[in-house]
Amino acid sequence: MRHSKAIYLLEGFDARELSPRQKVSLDNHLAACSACASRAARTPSLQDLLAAAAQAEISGFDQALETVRHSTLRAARQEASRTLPLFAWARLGGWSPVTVPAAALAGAFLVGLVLLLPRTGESRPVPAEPLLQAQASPTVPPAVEPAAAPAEGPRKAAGHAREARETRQSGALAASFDVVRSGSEVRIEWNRMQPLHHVSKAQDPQQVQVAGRHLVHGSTWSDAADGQAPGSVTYYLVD
Amino acid sequence: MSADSSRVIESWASLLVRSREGDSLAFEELLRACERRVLTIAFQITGNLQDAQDVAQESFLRVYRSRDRFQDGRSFEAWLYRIVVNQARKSLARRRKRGMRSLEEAGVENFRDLSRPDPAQSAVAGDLSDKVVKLLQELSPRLRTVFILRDLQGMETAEIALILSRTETTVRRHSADARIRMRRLLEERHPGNFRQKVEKD
Repeated sequence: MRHSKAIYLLEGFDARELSPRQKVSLDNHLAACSACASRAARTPSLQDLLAAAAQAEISGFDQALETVRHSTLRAARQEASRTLPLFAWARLGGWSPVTVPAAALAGAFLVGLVLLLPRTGESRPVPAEPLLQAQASPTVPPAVEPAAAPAEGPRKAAGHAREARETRQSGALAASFDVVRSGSEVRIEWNRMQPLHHVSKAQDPQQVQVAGRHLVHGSTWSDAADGQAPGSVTYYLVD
Repeated sequence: MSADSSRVIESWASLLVRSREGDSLAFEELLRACERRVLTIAFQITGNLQDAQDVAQESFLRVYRSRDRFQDGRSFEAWLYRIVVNQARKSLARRRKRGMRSLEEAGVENFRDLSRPDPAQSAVAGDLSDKVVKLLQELSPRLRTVFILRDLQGMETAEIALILSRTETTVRRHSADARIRMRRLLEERHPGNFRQKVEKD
């Protein structure tokens, strides 16, 4: 073994890290070379030297930890509120995971019941894979029927359209929606008894197109003459 | 990897799974569990507590955003540290671009501004720690990272290879090169510390 190789093994490796072959080779060299043996005797363990440094308390460290924790959690909550799946937003606020959907479902059921009262007995298909889910809203949700074909109203943009559905629990509504992206606007359109209904929200259409879960929140209005009042409704697009 | 270490990884991974399933408290628990080590690594690589804070925060946010993509059964710790190392290197690159040298211009000075009254028992170690962190900045980012993970964080070669996507042979070689370079730097710049240690031995 050459001197340089012996020094490299001595200073670059801990004894436990050497292979048996390297160890034998190094021991043989040290037995024959007094210069390297002397250097080996003088070589302190770098690990021992650094151990103290590694374990030293870094001033200001705990304060920095607090800052990181708070700013990270704040940013995470902000992100969560922008992209949360249905009901998860409320859990961040400390609501129990059971209470929130239960309350929302109860609300949705009551609203649905009111809307369905004049038309009981109609059966509606339940879609297998919901793409659009409505949060139970204190305001008037859209009264909808399954659409036979995508809405073709005069206000529908020529941009990308995606069919989405609203689902409710037992005895609830099921309907087809078009999510229409046009410029900076996202519209949700559906047909009920021919007139076109809308939910709109100025939101980057790219986000809706690309991401799996995005919130569409906006006001409703109706072309219908049946007096559906404008209101506010929140939808979650769920891929 | 030791049994204790494996248990920790399993625990962190399970917190991530809970967070993925919508338990927001789980992410905070995860943060508290690994924040100290993450900030330490970030500080040792960047040499600057302010940059380290940014690196740690960005790393945790990346974990949060990508938690759906984390595959069960893989090492969460390796995944986390890879993110931290990558973010720290980006931070170094940004600083180089800005033409700043952290320790001389911003790092150690600012770091000391943040200092609380120094406890007597850690004065010597703290002084050595400052010196070591300063010397680390003289290693190339590649050698520095391997040295930090191996000799300051005590990780195994296989674990480092996983984090850095290198072979174990490469990690061993970089580790040896980094140790030899650090040894030379310590001998040159702080012979007192080094001699003391030799005499003590």
